[in-house]
Amino acid sequence: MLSRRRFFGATAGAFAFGALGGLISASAAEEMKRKEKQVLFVWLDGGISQLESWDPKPNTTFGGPFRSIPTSVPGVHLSELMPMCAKQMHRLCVVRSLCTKDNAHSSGVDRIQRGDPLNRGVAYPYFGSAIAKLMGPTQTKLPPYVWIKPGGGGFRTEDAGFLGPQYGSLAFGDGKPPADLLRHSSLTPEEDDERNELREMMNKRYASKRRPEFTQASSYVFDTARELMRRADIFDTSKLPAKDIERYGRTEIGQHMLIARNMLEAGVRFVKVNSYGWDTHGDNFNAHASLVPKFDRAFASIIEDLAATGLLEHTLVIAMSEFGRTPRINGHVGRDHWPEAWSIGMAGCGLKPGSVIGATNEKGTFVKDSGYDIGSVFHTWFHALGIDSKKVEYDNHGQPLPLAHEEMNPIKEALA
Amino acid sequence: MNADPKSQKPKLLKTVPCDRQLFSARFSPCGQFLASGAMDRAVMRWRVADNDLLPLPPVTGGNGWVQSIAFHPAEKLLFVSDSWGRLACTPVEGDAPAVKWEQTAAHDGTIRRIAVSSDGKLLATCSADSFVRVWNAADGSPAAKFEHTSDVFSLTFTPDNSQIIFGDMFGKVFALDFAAGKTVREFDGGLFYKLSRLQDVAGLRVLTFIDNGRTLVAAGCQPEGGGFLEGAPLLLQFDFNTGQRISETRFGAKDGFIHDLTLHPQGYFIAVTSGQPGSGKIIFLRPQEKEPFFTHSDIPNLHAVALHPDGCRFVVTSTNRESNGNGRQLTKDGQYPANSSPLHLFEIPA
Repeated sequence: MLSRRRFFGATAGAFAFGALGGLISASAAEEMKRKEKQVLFVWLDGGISQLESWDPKPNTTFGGPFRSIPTSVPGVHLSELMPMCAKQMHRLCVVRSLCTKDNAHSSGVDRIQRGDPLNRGVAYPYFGSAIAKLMGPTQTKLPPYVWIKPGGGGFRTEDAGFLGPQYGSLAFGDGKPPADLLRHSSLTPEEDDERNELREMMNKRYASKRRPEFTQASSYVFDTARELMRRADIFDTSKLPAKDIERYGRTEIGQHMLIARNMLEAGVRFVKVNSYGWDTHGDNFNAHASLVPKFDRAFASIIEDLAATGLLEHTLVIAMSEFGRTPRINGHVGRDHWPEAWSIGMAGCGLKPGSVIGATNEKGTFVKDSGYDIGSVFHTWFHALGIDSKKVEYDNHGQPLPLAHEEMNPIKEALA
Repeated sequence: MNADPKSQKPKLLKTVPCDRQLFSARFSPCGQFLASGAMDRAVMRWRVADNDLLPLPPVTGGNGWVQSIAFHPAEKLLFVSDSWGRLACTPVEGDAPAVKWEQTAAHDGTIRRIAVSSDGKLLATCSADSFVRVWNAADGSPAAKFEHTSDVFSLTFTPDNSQIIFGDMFGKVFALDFAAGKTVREFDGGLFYKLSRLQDVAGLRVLTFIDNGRTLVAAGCQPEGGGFLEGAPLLLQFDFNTGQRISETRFGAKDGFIHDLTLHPQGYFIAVTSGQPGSGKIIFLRPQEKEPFFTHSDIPNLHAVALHPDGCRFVVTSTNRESNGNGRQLTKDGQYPANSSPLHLFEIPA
């Protein structure tokens, strides 16, 4: 669990590196911030099978045992393991023709989440770090990039790549807040204020001897952390109606998705939700029969809720893995890693609702036509958020760097 | 047959190719036919020759995967179930046997197992839809049903056909008085289950009786985790009258599942295990012993075993070697490869 001291310590270390960088166009950044667009990024670590989810091929050689079911979009079918997403299909945008390059977890996770740009000799940021940099916190000043995950938490600076550790993710292990999120009971509000006045005074002294971007970073980190400390309710799902908890599912991913909903409603810019255990080399079909309905319930519920509150209009929602799974069924009745033809489920701002983009062949072995690499997907996400990734660039201490693979383009059919 | 099974090292008579992947395998009680459920909605059939299996046209009409088949104990009838919930009865003879009866929606989802009562009057099926259903074997009409609380993985009739024993995703095994519609006893098979991160890992695969119904046998895998699904093949024996577990036997720490098991007339089990691709064993085990008296490790990815009624021959199904691998692996002619399931016909020396 992340303690407040550890959080402040980590972030202080972050701005000590001073990697603020900057957009080529400051006015463009201001425009982005005013729109208050948000992102929900659901990462199914290990690789969900496209054939048991978004791209079923029933009654084919590699189609597996499951049926497909109709959805709220006529003519579009999903796996029978996703009945709730099927009812939300009119809000979803599914790309069935991803064709990426890496079939190993160790490198694939990084390449996919960093957008696999052309090699520039630097580590590119994860999408969450990129958005934290490009769009910053919303007006709520809550941390811009939050990660809800099973296991341990902490400030994960490695996500940020060349942007510098300030843009790392603030990870909440097991969806829990820092142990001392709230003001300690031994401190009165007045004493807490006095401590903060002291901190402000020291900050000013610190700032007077340093370049302004360093002090801006300092304020940024402390402001977002303090705002988070005021919102302990975000993490508390116990007071939510029981029907909400049931609807999302009393599972790890269900409860984490509920916290994600709270965070989005509270104004966190980018929320990542991780689920582990999708690397189903053995007994793939019983595994997916167990895993997918839990994801389906949680994911469809948050789509439904974001739509009901209007948040979906300005929230980009993404659910994906580092690759799909082989059509071929191995001797352990499992599926292995398959980057050649897989799917991604999306919804929300800037995307065409109720759409299915691309297709795989009859047996699901390869994409029809050329397919889309992750660089195209990154361009699509940036454009959906109103960021022209073909024009806006990072400034890495004077080195201009494209936001995404410069030889690739957005998936136009996916954009609204 | 030799009275001492230790000297009964089986001899491989023939490996018969099959161009698709198979699950189950059963000989007809008359001994003339072998049938096997496939991953492509078909039931593959062979006519049994002395040292060979001669292919017959497959039985079609199903959907998804045919995960369980069973023969009528007296008539040349085959019961077939599939992963879309269809249950059907068809003659086993003929090039294109007509369906005698079918229930196209016997279950809402995968039918995992068919059991036939020893008198041939009833069928029982269990499914991922949480139901155990009982059918009249003559016409497929419903005879009874029981709604459980989770996915049901295996079942069998008691030898007197008065109860059905079924086991669920969590390894819980129940005795069901199906006429009364209630469970009457529970057996603790919790070793067959593990919650691994988000995944409920279900290890139970086989339920059967020995000792004229005095001992209930449950077999499958004690899972270590999901994903790769490593675990130990596990065989539990219960005193049926008391419900107490009387034996717990594992075969290798990471050898996967006992996928199938049959009882030889001389009183020993023939079981097939496999786990990670490339692994697999045929095991001969006396119920009262902890160690197999014979193990065969040359055939990978074993999924089913069928004992011929003569007690001298058996067949195992397997998935071909080099069945796995990440990323693009094409055949020499540039095609995407599919796996297959060769059958291996063994003889137990007399």
